[in-house]
Amino acid sequence: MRESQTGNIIESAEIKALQEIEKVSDPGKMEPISQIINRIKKINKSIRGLDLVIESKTFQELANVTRVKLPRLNDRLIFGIKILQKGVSESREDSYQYISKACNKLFEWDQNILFVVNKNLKDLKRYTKIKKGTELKKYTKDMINNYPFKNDLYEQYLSTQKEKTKDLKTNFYLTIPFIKEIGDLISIYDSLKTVNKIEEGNIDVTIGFAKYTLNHLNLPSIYIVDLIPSLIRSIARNQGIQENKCLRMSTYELVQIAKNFKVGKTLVEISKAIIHEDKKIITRSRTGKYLWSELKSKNFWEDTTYLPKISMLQNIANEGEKPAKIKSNNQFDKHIGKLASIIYSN
Amino acid sequence: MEIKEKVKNFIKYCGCISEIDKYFWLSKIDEFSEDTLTQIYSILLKYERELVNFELTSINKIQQLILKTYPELQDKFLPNYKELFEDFKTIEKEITFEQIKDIRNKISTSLKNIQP
Repeated sequence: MRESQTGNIIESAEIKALQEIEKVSDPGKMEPISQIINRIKKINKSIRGLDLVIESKTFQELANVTRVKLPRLNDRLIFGIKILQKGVSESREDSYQYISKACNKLFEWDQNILFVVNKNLKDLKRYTKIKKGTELKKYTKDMINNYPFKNDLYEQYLSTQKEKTKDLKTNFYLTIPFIKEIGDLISIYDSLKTVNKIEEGNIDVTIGFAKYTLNHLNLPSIYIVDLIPSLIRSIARNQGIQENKCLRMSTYELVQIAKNFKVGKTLVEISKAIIHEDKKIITRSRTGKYLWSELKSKNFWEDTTYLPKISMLQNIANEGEKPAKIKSNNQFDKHIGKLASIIYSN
Repeated sequence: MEIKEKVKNFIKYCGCISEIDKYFWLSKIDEFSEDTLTQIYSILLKYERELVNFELTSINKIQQLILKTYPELQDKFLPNYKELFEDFKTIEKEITFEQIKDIRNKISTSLKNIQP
């Protein structure tokens, strides 16, 4: 790892430590030891989440040794976006070709997924031809009912929707990935149609692909947690921010970027809901319901292996942590001096 | 334990591969030769060592800061990272996967033991 990268990570750790210590800058009003210990725990969690540069370097080296030419998943998503950017067209046929091409590139590392994606695209294509000239979303139900993997549970749900028994509700969760798969393909299609909103549309495409991957690989909740900051980084990349800078961004900077986009605001909202176990918000959407069942089944909030990732999510949920402000003529200055000398002394 | 299993276990455990990409590498393991797997193992060890070094160094420094800021805090209220850090430094160059796991376990145990 290069010195400058290490320096940047240490710098981030420094900012986080300052934020924690700044909370009580008046030595006359010392907080209880229990609170300080809690903050030490928070610092610990924050530091352990700062492993992005090492992750990037590890992947690079593993790829060299194994001669795997594929970039990381996030980079594959970006690659897909670039293909889509080139191929945005008002022609439906062209759009399908580009979606297919992008999916091929995104999922070429997993033939099974590729097969399912292409199969779904064919079905979607068939149905849009049948329902020519009509908004696709209206035909979600038709597509589900005629879909080759016809799902009895979903039909059962539709027929007894008013009753909403507990058992049925549990079973319904199982059908969510299936429904979302079609929904995501529709949103990909819709975003391609929005020629005048290419930028916004392509971010939706990223989210669509990400959701698709999550649902299809049946990834546990930790992947969802990992994905939220990564998706905000991909928004940053779309804004032309360089890779190195994206990797080093503080959560405060990430949230500032996210806030400029509708989809980014949603990601911050989801982060908040996950951290605060806000079932009401999480389960507002179908994807959320699936997410909620995932989080519950994986014992998410209690499992310590999730701590570093939760910490990043926590910072996003808090809408980023502002870099510490240095106050002059204050006892706190001395602490900053001490911190700087400790951090850089070795 | 054969190298394939060792690499699999390391990938599942390690912090130097993104959680999303772990799935990818695990699905590829069967395609790699023993030589490649050995190389993978040493790469993982190298970066995991960097990660542990970074974690312990930072935590240790911040612990020192907190002790200086709040001198009345007793050592016993803080996890003993300094000792962990010193132990790590003595074995750093030849550290094994098991030793890394052991250090991480000690960090977790320290945190659990300081419940206020």
